[in-house]
Amino acid sequence: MRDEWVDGLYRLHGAMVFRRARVLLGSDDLAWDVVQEVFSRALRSRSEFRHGAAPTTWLYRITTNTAFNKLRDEGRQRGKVAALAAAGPEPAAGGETPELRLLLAEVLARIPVPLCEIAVYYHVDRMSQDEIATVLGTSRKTVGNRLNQFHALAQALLDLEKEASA
Amino acid sequence: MTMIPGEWTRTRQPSRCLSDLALDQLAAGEDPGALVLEAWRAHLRQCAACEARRAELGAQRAALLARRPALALPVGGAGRGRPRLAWGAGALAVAAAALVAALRAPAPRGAGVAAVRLKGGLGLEVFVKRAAGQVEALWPDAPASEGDALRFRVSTDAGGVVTIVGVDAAGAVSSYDPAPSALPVLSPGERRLLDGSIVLDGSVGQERLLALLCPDREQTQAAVGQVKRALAAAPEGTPPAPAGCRETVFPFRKVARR
Repeated sequence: MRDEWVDGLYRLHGAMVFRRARVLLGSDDLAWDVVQEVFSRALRSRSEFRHGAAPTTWLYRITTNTAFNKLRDEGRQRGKVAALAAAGPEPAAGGETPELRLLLAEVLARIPVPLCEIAVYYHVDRMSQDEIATVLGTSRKTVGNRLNQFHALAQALLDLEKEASA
Repeated sequence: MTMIPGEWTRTRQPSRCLSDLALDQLAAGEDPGALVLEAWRAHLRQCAACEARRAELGAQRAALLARRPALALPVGGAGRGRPRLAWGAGALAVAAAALVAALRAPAPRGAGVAAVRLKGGLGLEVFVKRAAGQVEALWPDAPASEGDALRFRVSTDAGGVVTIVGVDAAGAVSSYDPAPSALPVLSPGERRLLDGSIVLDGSVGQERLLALLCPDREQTQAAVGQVKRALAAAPEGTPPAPAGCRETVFPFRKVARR
């Protein structure tokens, strides 16, 4: 199906959606699935889209949440998570091991999406808290609170993992 | 394989640099407001790193348009098919490294630390170990099922003795106390993962967990008794925190095991 409005949206923002999905999922195939889902959703939500926020911020949110849903789906199958974690190249610096990346992928699959979303904007996209607040349509204080919640939950999960493996 | 110039995300970004979001908005011609727009443009004129990143993003956009797999958008919106892209090496490690660094870093400054369920300075976080072995954070109103094991982390800005009480869908009340002498004592500002776990039975429906924090063991035991009596009289209600104690309620859904 061709739709000129979505087609134009895709030409302008498709690379951005693919880029962000690719960073989060580490897979071209999964990232392309996200592109399809995001623009399918834009097609369904056309009226909301036109009268809502700027397309870029709207697409950032949909892309992040769609990618996280995929990551969570994948995360429920440990073999796939292992493959996902192993697929990325070794970091050039920093010393993170494949095991740590696997652990991180699993932690991300276990923390509620709203918290992961903010953490990714902050730590991966390097957005300011003000920018995150704009994307989410919430206050900077809420962003700060949720970043703290993410850290607390992630640390607790890591502690539980260590305890379970000890 | 077509290699796309530049990285998919920046591993290092000077603190005052523009985010990719700002660069994406500039490229899309969106208006963030006259003052912001002028500030962005002025920054770009002076910052080689941001200008280079803007060029990278532009190159990625051009590469997509050059290759441009067609979107498959059926009526009704569900995607079908999957055009194959073969773009550059993955950036998962970049994202992972950033988040690992984040986990190791101190929590961001700003607002105070808030637990998942926080009321009156008493926070209750719940973690679930699924029957398959996976450990997850349980979000309020999220599902859990038979065989799942729950663990609790409590935080408080005041010291005291803490206990957890559960109320199932039928109104049955369970106290997850160890021996009274072993009730955990928390210091002001402490956040502690409580010892032990509870394993959920096969009943289904809306359940609640109540964390109670009282100044000493005797008051905590008395508070449990008061809460049980209140719930026996009004199973659907939320009993008020007994005098001198704090209470936080954490709801979750018990569902049949899939």
